[in-house]
This record gives sequence, structure tokens and C-alpha cells, in this order.
Amino acid sequence: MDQSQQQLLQWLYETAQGNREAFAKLYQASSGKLFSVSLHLLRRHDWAEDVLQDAFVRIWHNAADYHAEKGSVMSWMISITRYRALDLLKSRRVKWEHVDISEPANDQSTDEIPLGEVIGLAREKVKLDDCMSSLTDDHRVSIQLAYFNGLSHQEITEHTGSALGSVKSWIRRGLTQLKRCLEA
Amino acid sequence: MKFDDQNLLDELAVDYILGTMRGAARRRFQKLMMSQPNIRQTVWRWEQHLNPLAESLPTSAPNPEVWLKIQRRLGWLPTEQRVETRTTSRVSWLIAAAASILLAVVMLRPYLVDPVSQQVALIQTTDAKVWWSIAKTELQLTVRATSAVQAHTDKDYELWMLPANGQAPISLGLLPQNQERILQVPAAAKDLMIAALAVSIEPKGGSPTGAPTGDVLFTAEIITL
Repeated sequence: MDQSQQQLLQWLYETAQGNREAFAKLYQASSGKLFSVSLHLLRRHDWAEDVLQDAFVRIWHNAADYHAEKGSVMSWMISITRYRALDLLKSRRVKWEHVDISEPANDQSTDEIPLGEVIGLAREKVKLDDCMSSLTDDHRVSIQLAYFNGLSHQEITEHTGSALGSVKSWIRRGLTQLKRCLEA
Repeated sequence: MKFDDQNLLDELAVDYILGTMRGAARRRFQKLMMSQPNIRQTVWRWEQHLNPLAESLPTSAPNPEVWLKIQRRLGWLPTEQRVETRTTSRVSWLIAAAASILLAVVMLRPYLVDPVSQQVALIQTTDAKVWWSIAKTELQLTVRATSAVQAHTDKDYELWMLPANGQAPISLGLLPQNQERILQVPAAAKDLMIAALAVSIEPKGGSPTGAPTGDVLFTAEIITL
């Protein structure tokens, strides 16, 4: 287990015991990333902040429900945030007219600080990057649009100009390939 | 549905995680996750596969208000209404004047950049008007007043730290009512963990007793890095 995961786990454990200071540290260490996840899905600061707020209230109440089978602490918190954001998306039906597909995932400058060191996803990320890069562009972009921006299959077709059947099969085939690679 | 078809489960799990599964199908799937351990585990496994994607996203700092709202929702901070109804004390006019001050102590660490972090606290009203910004280096606080500060010629605002060990509040000095002032962290406070900062309204020149004598307007927990 890498150090950052261990640190987050310690804070989460203390949070589950009702330790507010540990919860504050957890917030401090992860809110920037979680807010970014939320903001990419919702594209509105006020909504993204509502989601972040809900997510942390849940994290406080559900800290004791975390266990390792659910993934790393960070992955668990990302899931809580994403599902809350997807709920909100569903209820407020955002229209996606200006999604910049070049923005997520691809713009890692060389001097960037390795954020994963801090939030505990670094190792998984390296592997995922490797596996993602083995996908075709169509497969990769479709997965990214769905993951980062919460686009439906239909919305992805509008965005990429591809047929609905193609998008569905790209995501399916891309993920099958991804799984083989990740679980190899 | 065949719950033993792992390929199908993978596909559904991914649809669920990505959010491409919607409406009734999503609700049905949520129900299935509750009753079928293998479905739940498939979802967890795919969450672990996919969530590292978020690693590519740049972090973006949420508004400091969010942390306050979380604490209010958890009942750790007084709600704004409760604060505004306190009007009985001798210095009620002062409280009324400052009723909307909310001490928001938020460590705005330049994110992940500098391990010897400079800490910044903001003291702001409930409608997010910042009255003071405080930058803390090891032994020094640089406090800058904004034009929002309600100035008093015969009173001073005094800043206190509340040690995490429960010890009595330690004065950090008087807050400027305009411009900037540098406060030295007293030796007694140097090695203590700070549980909260507080602002009280005091006679001109500060508390005569070394402890807050006027009303402590607000306190807030702070994030220690």
C-alpha cells in the first residue's frame, strides 16, 4: 500500500471514529481533486460545489462503511462524488454544447507535480495510462467523454459525429480491452 | 438476467459507473447491487479501474464557503440565523453590527506546491465579504483589512487562537481596521496546534485582562496542514 493511501486511510479511520480534525485533513487533501471531478461533470461552479458538499457529508456519515474491497480511499471518494454529480446531472439535464474534448486526460505537461503521490492513485494511474494508450482514439475518446463529462451514448454521437451503434460498441470493445490489460 | 455472465455484468457495471445507464434501468441496477454480491463486486472492481482516470484532471480549489457549509450541515458551526438572534447582551449593538461576520478560517494552501506551506486564513461575512485575510508564515501573521471592515474609533477587533489542547485562548494581537499589519506569533503559541481562531471586540488597545472580555464574535475550526 503506498504511503498516501495509508495516510488517507488513517484519516478516514479517524473520521469514522468521529475525529473532526482528521476529517478536515481528508477534505484538505482531496477536495481539490473531487471538486475537479464534479466540475467536469456539471460545468457549473455552484452545482459542483453543492455536489462536493453533499459528497463530504456522506463521507463523514459513511466513513465506517469503507473497506478495501471498494478500492483505494481516493477511488471510493471519487465514486461518491461522481454518483452524486450524475444524480444532479440527471435531474437538471444539462445540455452539452461546448464540451472541450481535448481538455481532459491529454494535457499533462512534463513538469507537472505528480498529484497521485498526494492523493493515492499514482500507481493505478500509470497502469491505466498504459492500457488507455493501447486503445484506438475512438475507443479512448468515447470512454473519456462518458467518464469525465457524463455524456450519454447519444450525446457522444452528437459530439463526435459518429453513429450510435459505433459509439456503443467502441465503449464496449474499448472497455473489454481495457479490462484485459488492467487485469493482466 | 443471467447474473453469472461476467461479460454482461462488466458491461452493465461500466454503464452504471459512466452514467450512460439512466432512468429505470439505473434504478433496477442499483437494486440488484444491493441484493447480488457479485454485481456489487463487479462495480467496485470497475470503479477501481476507471477512477484513476480522474488523476489526469487538474485540481481546482473549491470556494472556501463549501467547507463552512459542510461544517454547518454537520452541526459543527452555528447556523447563520442563530447568530443573528443573539441580541440580549450589553454589547448587543456591537453584535448586531457584526452579526454577519463569520470567521471562515480556510487554509488556502497553494495546492500541493510548497511543502513549507504558507497558510492563509480568510475572515469573512456570511455573504462572503472578506474582512481580513491572514497569511501565516512560521512566526508571523500578515493581516490585511479589506474595505468591508466596519471600523470603530473606540473599539478594537482582537484575534485569538484557541489551542487544540483546551488551554485558554492566546491573543495574537489587534486586527487592523484598514490596511495591513504584521503580528508576531507569541512564543507561547508557537508550538501549539490551533483548533480555531476567534475574533472578539475589545476596548481600544485590546483586552485589558489577556483573555477575551468583549463578545467573541465567532469561532471556527481550522484546517491544520
